[in-house]
Amino acid sequence: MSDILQQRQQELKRNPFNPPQDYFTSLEEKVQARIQTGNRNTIAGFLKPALFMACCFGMIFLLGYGAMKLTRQHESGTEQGLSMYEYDLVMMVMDESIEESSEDTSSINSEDEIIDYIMMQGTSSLYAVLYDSDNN
Amino acid sequence: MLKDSEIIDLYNEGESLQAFNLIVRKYRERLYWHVRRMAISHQDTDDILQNSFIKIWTGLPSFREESRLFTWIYRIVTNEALTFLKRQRLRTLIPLSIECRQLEADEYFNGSQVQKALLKAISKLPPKQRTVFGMRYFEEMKYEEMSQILDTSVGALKASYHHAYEKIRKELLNFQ
Repeated sequence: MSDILQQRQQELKRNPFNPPQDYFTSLEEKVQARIQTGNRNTIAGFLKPALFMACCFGMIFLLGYGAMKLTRQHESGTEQGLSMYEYDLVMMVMDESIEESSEDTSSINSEDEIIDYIMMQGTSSLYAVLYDSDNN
Repeated sequence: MLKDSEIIDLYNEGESLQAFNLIVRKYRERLYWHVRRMAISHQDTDDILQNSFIKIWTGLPSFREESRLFTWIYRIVTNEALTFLKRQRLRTLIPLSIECRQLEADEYFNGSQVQKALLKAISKLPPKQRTVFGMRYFEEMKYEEMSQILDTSVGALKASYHHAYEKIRKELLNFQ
């Protein structure tokens, strides 16, 4: 089979391009100019990805924190088997009954203690509200 | 023109910028034609060459003289050109037509029809084969030297060149 790459190699190996006039001189100048500005670009080039990474981590942290906070709120309201609405009602009535009470209530901290306290006080309005919300 | 070893001595004496300028002056033309046959367009060649020289400048302090300066420089430039060609292939779905169009509209091309056909055939090759073909056919480089530059075994280079050669020969059958 004939081989044009061999037969016409002299023609084919000849350079078919011309570079633009004075290109090689201008290339040297362009490279020089880039080296001069190289240091500034290096700092910016280093800082840009670092800042981007910091922003990404910040966003992830905020999203995680927000999601955690929402979940915690929900859990704390329902861990006693109460819905958020019921929990709010209990707290509202509790505030009222504590205000009404002349006893020292500063030692009441946990929700169990609060419920025990209400039971002992026999606050009827709380039972009424809970009874209503159950029926609804 | 100074020898490579003299340029390195100059660099080691603290005349880094002067030594670098000598490297640019010594190799710019040879490297330009090496890249031009791979990238085809002048603009792309210019970008590749500038980036390569910047890499050479930043890499000079770590040049350990384990290889020849020429081989080291050629490796940087060739890798830069290969990276460019691979990226270009990923960017465009049909890069071949772009390169052919660039060639048709190239105001700096003054070759014959068969030379144009040869360049079009080369542009259809995968980047590595294109590089191997250019280095062997146009620059008549020895396989051992190509092996050092491309970090590929001589056997693999011979096979790659043979594949490229056959593909191009078939593409140019119309020009017999």
